[in-house]
Formats: sequence, structure tokens, C-alpha cells
Amino acid sequence: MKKARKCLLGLVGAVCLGSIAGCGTNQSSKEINIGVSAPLTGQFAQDGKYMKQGIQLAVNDVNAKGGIGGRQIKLFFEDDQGPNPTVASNAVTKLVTQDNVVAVIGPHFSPAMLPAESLFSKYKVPALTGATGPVITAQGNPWIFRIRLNDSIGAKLLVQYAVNDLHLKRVGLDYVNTSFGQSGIQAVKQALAADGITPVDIQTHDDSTKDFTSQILSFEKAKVDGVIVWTDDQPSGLLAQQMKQLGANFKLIGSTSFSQPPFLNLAGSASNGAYAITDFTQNNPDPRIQAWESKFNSVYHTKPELYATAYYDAMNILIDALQHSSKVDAPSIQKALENIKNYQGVITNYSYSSGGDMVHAGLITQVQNGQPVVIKKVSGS
Amino acid sequence: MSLQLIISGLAMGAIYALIALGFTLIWNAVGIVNFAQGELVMIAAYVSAGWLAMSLHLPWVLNLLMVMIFMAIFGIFIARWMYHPLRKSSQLSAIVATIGLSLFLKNIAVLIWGPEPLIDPSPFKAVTLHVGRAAFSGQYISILAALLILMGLQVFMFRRTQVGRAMQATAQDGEVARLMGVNTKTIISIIFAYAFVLAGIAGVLMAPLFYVSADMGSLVALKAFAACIIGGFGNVQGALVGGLILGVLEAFGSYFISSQYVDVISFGLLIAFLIFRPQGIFGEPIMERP
Amino acid sequence: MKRRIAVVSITLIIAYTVLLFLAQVLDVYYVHVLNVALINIMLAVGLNFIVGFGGQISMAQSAFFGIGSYTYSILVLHHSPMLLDAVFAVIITGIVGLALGWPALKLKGHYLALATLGFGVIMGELMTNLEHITGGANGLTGIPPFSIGSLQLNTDGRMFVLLLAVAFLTVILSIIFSKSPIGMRTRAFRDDETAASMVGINVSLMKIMLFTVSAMFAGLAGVLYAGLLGYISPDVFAWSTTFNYLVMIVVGGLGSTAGPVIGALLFTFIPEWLRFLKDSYMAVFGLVVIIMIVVAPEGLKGLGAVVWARHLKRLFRRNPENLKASREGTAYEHHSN
Repeated sequence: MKKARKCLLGLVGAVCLGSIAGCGTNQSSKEINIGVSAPLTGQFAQDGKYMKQGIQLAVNDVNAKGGIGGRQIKLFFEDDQGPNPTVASNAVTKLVTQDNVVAVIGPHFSPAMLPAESLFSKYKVPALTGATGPVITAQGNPWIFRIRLNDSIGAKLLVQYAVNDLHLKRVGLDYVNTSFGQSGIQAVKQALAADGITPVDIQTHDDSTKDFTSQILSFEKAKVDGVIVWTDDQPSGLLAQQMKQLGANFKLIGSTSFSQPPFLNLAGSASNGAYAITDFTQNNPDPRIQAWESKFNSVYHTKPELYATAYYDAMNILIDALQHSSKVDAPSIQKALENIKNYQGVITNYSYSSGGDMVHAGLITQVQNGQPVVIKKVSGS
Repeated sequence: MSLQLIISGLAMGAIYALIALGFTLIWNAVGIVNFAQGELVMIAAYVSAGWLAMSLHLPWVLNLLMVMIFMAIFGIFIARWMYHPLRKSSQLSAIVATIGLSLFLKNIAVLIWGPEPLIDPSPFKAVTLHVGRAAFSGQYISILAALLILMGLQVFMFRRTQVGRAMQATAQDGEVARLMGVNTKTIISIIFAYAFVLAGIAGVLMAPLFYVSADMGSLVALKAFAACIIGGFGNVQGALVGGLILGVLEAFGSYFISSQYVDVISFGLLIAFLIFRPQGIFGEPIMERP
Repeated sequence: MKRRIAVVSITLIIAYTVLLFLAQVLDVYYVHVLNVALINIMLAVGLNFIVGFGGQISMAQSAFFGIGSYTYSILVLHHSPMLLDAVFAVIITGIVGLALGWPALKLKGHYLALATLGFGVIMGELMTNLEHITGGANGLTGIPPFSIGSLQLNTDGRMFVLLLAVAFLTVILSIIFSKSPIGMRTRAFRDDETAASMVGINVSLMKIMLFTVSAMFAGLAGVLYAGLLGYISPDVFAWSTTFNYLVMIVVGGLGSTAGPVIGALLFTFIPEWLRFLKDSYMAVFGLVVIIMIVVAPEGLKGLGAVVWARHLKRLFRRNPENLKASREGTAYEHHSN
């Protein structure tokens, strides 16, 4: 009993002492500290890897040119383990209070961004995120900037294409049961309702679902013309593959995953014919994207995918804001970000609109001979 | 339609059963549930897809053999350095050690093979078989075949061979077995090696179907654990039947009731099953382990 | 006995004051992590009731954590009185615990483990799927911070005061329980169920009681978590997170109060300390867990007791009370083997 208490107290004491020892601040007047909260470990570490590649490349460029006003940018990467609110709040708190960053890129997942939003407004630090859930900017938080296409806009554009160009009548829906899938499909449902269409069959799966037979059979029973799918890379590949195996012949129309390399690799020839709404695809003949691809390739010896590109743009937008900011502090940067107008990135022209959305256009792609081909450029408000 | 559902249900069920065999073995031998079984499957899949298939371009059979050897060595290592020091501690310590192992393996896999999922080529995958109007992948046949062979082997080993009897003796009462001249330390190492090899075979066979990623084992292993309970824990036939029942149940539940609530359905039934027939289908009335 | 109580309370009051003082000088990041650690302490101390004192493997702690958190958050977002919501959430969690415990605790060992784990999977699905009630996978945003009168506990420093007080309370409750006659009886049935029921202990009733208490502690932790982060989502309560709490109590040491506290602190702080290892820190953490278990299978608390009994005991021979304490420690080690 006594011993137990001593152990307890000793340990608590040790923890606290450890904390004090680690209290040193690394503020430096020479460098500009920028934080990155990304999934560096766990199930979603690939997203973090891509984020890191893009951000690092942009920072290397500006630092090689002498930095901003003679000050180099210093990056602080912290792991948020993807959709993990607790770890994300730890990571963001560390970045803004320990590392004294003036701006943060990430978190990338909505369930990590949502608890972080109150931290960003509390500590008054701007954050740029690629989380696409409408809920992110629906909070009306002036410190949050979204550098990718809002799902509610993307879903509307995709539905317009499916209804007006593909003439779908009987639509099935399928989504991954995460915040990304749920809010995406919600936006799809709303857009369909606006066109007077009620989905005839709705299915859902997890990131770990391996067998889609029941879902595909259910869609066939409902006699759908096409299925709109809001999901991640792995399920998208399995779904297409198993559709082919079962000889299902409805159209596959989906979220960004359906145009990205993991899907193309995983689904193989089954990827042909799939449509997607996206902001970026590889092998786009656009010279701006060609230049970016060769630049990326010269450093990482591979082609850039969506997240590396989006966060490369995010970092460049932040650099632009830093250059136009009156002072290098968080509130001035926030003001400068709000003034971003027609910033020419790799993916698109970024413009701030109230609410925090900076992207307003997307691409409709179709996979042909194993490669996504841009078949339409779409934009909305 | 129903035929297709049954086939795909059986296919998933076979995967559960294959992993359940590994659970059963370690449970029978040392009385703990290995919560890292799913991660062992994952590691085997990575070794197969990440090292052997992609770097060395080995033929498939040689590839499988190499993975089996790797997993056997790994199993002996874990038996000696992780399980052995814990053999006299509470059951829960050993369980938590396996939880730590699963955390470690999941993260080390990402460090070694990178965070992107790998694709494992397989000679069976390209084949699609048709039964009436139903279609299924050749990969499933390989899993089903492996399952039946391994199950037969396991039953044979426990009932007919010297080593198997020694294993059983160790499982029932390690102390008595030791007094009777069974080298329990070696036997436990053999059991771990074999259980790890089982996970290895499961990993190699599942890799082409699942894509190889760090989380590929977690949920499947949970389902395999459930399959063990349905069949009757520690019972080899039970693992097979439990796995197949669970697989078919999921396929039908997803199709006829709701894909959104499929896990609620299967685990709800599982809990009901546990409460009304905790010994499982083939199990004898529960006897608590020391 | 009276003197002991006085000593205990004075020590606790001093510790509380020192910790409060520390919170003022510490970096806010550490206070934030400490807050998370305190919530983990409540979860671990709670889980220890059924697993440590009761000897039953429960894997439902994450589900109870979620039930408490969601009940409170949903109510508070409908603008009902905060304190009432908190009490209600804890009671609801207790009732669910009771309802699950009644049938489930007839099961033993791994059967109970799987039944409770299955319950966790089901709860996770419900939190994700009942979008109209729970906000779905996006979770619930904008949960207001706690307030006492007009004072809002909207900073980590202020929350620390509250969380520390509640954590101390749970720790004290756990200590009182373990020393009480009921606590003694639970130890009796954990060590030998048949013998205990023969001497007239109602074993199933005791188990259900422990399980309910475990659930209520988790519910309380859930309420406080919602107030701390202002946001909850199903990810926080995923079935796989239940393993974390088991790791905490086993690494710390089962069956005592100090064990879960040590375990929860280490489990929260070690990954944060290891952050400098970047991509590999979680792998290293997994390895640390394995090594801790292998080196100290009965938990770090047990390791401390063994070292104490073997080497330090004689230094304190002259003081009979210390000697008695160390004997208690070693005697207990034999129990848990």
C-alpha cells in the first residue's frame, strides 16, 4: 500500500521532471518555423509520405533561393496517425506551443482536423489542409484553409456529369464507412435529389472489406445503370476487380481514388472505363503538369501522385503568403492567405473564398487502356 | 445468385478458417490467444510479396517454401525469447505481449516495405472458374485446398504422431509432461514454429487477394478468433466449420439485410451464440484453464 | 488505521498541490498530454476493477468510454444542464455495463474476452452508422468546454485542475475499495472461485458489480474527454483501442491501484517522448511494450516490489511499518502467479 503510493508519486514526479527538461523552446529568429501534421505511421502512412515529399520539395526550392527575406524555412513534421483525434490534438498542440510554428499544413484527415480546428483558433495559427469533407469549412473557422476540392462541390460536379453526360437513370451508391465516405456520399445524395433522382440501392463497406460480391450482386438485382462510389484506394481497386470477375456491366463512377495510381495498379485491366472526379491525374498533357512531373521525378525517381502535388501547391501558397505578409507572424500570414487570388499552382488556380475553400474546379477522368484520361474540365462555386 | 453468395462466403470463410488453425494450435499448446496472429499473416505476405516475389523473382513454390522457413525461424525466436520467459506468468501477461508484438509488427512492416500497399502476383489469380452462372477466382481454390490439407495434417499430427502426443501432453499439463520426460521447451518451440508457418501459408495465399498492407491482418484475425469460438475453441474441425459458417453468414447478411450493419449482425449472433452455447458447435463443456 | 488515513490524505493533498503548481510552470503541450494521461488513468483504473480485482478479461472498455462520451455529448449539444448530463452519462454507461455483464459474465477467459470485444465492434459500428444521432464518422463537433459558474474550463491548464481532481478521486476510490472487506472478498474469488463460493461469496454478483464499476469509470472518462477535446468521433472508441487499456494495466501491474496509474502514464508519455524517432517511433514503442512485459511479467509495479523485497528491505529493517509494507508486497506477488 505504502510502497504502491511511493511508486505512483515517484513516477508522476519523474514524468513531470522529464517534461520540464523537455521544455526548451527552439525559437530562432533566423528561421521561419512551419509545422506539418501528417499520418507518418500506421494504416494511412502512405498519405503522410506523399505529403512530406511535396512539402519538402517546395521548401527546398525556396530555401535554395535564399529563403524568404533572407530567412530559411524550417519544417517540423509530427505524426497524427491519420484519423486519430487524440494523437492529432497532441501533435498540433506540440507544433503550435513547442515548436512555435507560424503556420501548419495538415492534419489531412477530417477526424484529425476537426479537433485541431479549435486549437488553431485558440492559438491563432493558420492551417492548410487537404481534408475534403464539407464539415471542415462548415465550422466558419477563419484559420482553416482548404487546398483541395470540397467534396460537396466535387460530388455535385460528378453527379451533373453522370446525369447529364452519361444519362444515368438508375443509380446505385457505394461508400466507405468513414468520415470521408459518409460526407462524400451525403453530398452525392443531395446533388442527385436536386436532379430528382433517388438512388435505387445503397451499399457501404470498410477500408478492410475484401469481398464485394454481395454488394455487386445487390446492385445487379437493383438493375442499376451505374454506381457512384465514394471510397479510398484499396476498396476501389478490389471493387473494380471483383466487378470484372463477376461480369458486372454497370458503370463505375467515383471519387478521386478512381483516377489514382494505387487504383490503377490494384485493379489492373479492371480499371478500364471507370470515371472519376479529381483535381489531378498523372500523364496529363498540360505542360504545367508535365514540367512538375519531370521535376518531381528528378528528385524522387517516381511520378508524383495527387497528395504530393496538392501539398506541394499548399506549401507554395503558404510561401506566397509569407512573401506578401507584412510580418512573419501567424495573424499576418492568415490575412495574406485570405488575400490569395488566382494563385497559379500545379493543380489549378487557387483563390480564397469566404469559408476557406481555395479550389473551385475539378477534372472528370476516365480510365482508358489503363491510364486516366481527362475528358472534361468542370468548375462550380 | 445464392450459389454465388455461398461460394464467396465459403471463400472468405476458408480464409478465416486458415487463420483459425493457427489460433487453435497455440491455444491447444500453451493456452493463450495469440493476438498477433493476423500480423504474422501480414508479415508473411510482405516477405512473400515485398522481398521474394518482387526482388528475387522466385517461382511461386520456392517462394512459399522460403516464407515457411522464415516463419518457422521467427516462431522459434518468439517462443524462446517472448513466450518462454512468460510461461509461468498470468495468461494476461502473455496476451498483452502478443498485443505488443502486433503493434510492433504493424509498424515495422511500414518501415521496411514502405507505406504503399504491395501487389502480389500469383499463378492462381488469373484463373476464374465458373460453376453454372457463378464465378470465383482460382486463388480461392488454392486456399480451400491448403485449408483441407493443413487441417488433415493437424488432426493426424495430434492423434497419431509421437510429437503430436507430446504436444498434447504439454498442452494439458506442462509440468506433468516435463516429469514424464517430454522436453516441453523444445515442444513449445516446435508448436510456435508450426503455428507461425500456418500464418505464413495463409499470408502467401491471401496476399494476391488482399493487397499487402500493414492492416491486412487485423480484422480478418478477429473474425478468425470468432470462428474459433463458433466452432469450439481448440477444436480443429471446429475452426473449419466456424470459419465457413461465419463467411457464409456475412455474405448473406450483407446481401439480404444490410452491408452497413454486417459486423453488427455477425458479432451480435456471435455474442448470442456465446451466451447460449459457449462451448461452440464441437466443443465440450468449458473447462477453465489454469 | 486512523493515523494511516491521515498520512494518506496528507500525502495526496501535497501531491495534488505540487502537481497543480507544476501545471502552471509546465509548457502547455505537456499539460495537454498530461490531461490525456489523466483520462487514460481513469480508464485504466476502471478496467483494473474487473480485470485486476475480478480476474476477468474484459475488452469492452473502449465501448464504455464511447457510450459515456456520446451520451454526454449528445445531451450537452441539446443544451441541457452540463452537470446533469455528466451524471446521466455515467449512470447510462453503468446500466449498459450491467446489461452486458449479466449474461456475459457467465463466460470465462477468452470467451468473455471475445464477447466483450464483439460488443466493442458492434458499438463502433453503431457510432459510425447512426448518423442522425451520433454525427456518423465525422463525429460530434462543437462540444462546449466545462464551466463552473461563469468560469469556462477552456484551456488545458484549467482542465488539468478538474481532471487531476477527478483522477485523484478515482484513484482514492480504487484504493479504498481494495482495502475494504468487499475488496478482500473479490481477491478471494479471483484466486479461487470455487472456494470463494463455498464460503458464501456470491461470485456472479461480485463480478457484475465490478464490471459495472469498470463501465462507469470509463463513462466518466468519456464525459471528460468530450469536454477536453470538444470533439469526439468513432475513431477514438474503435474496438482496436481497447487493447491499449489492457496493455496499460498489465504493463503497470494488475490488481493494485498504482499499477494502472503507472501504466497509463507510461502508455501516454512514452510515444510522445519517442516522437523524435519520427517514422519509427511506434515500432519502437511496440518493442518497448514487449520488453517491459518480458522483463516484468507482473507489471512494473511488481518489478518495483521485487527489487524492494530483495535488496532494499534490509535497509529499512529497523522500521517495522516499512517492513510490513514490503512483506505485503512480496506476499502479493505470489498471489498473482
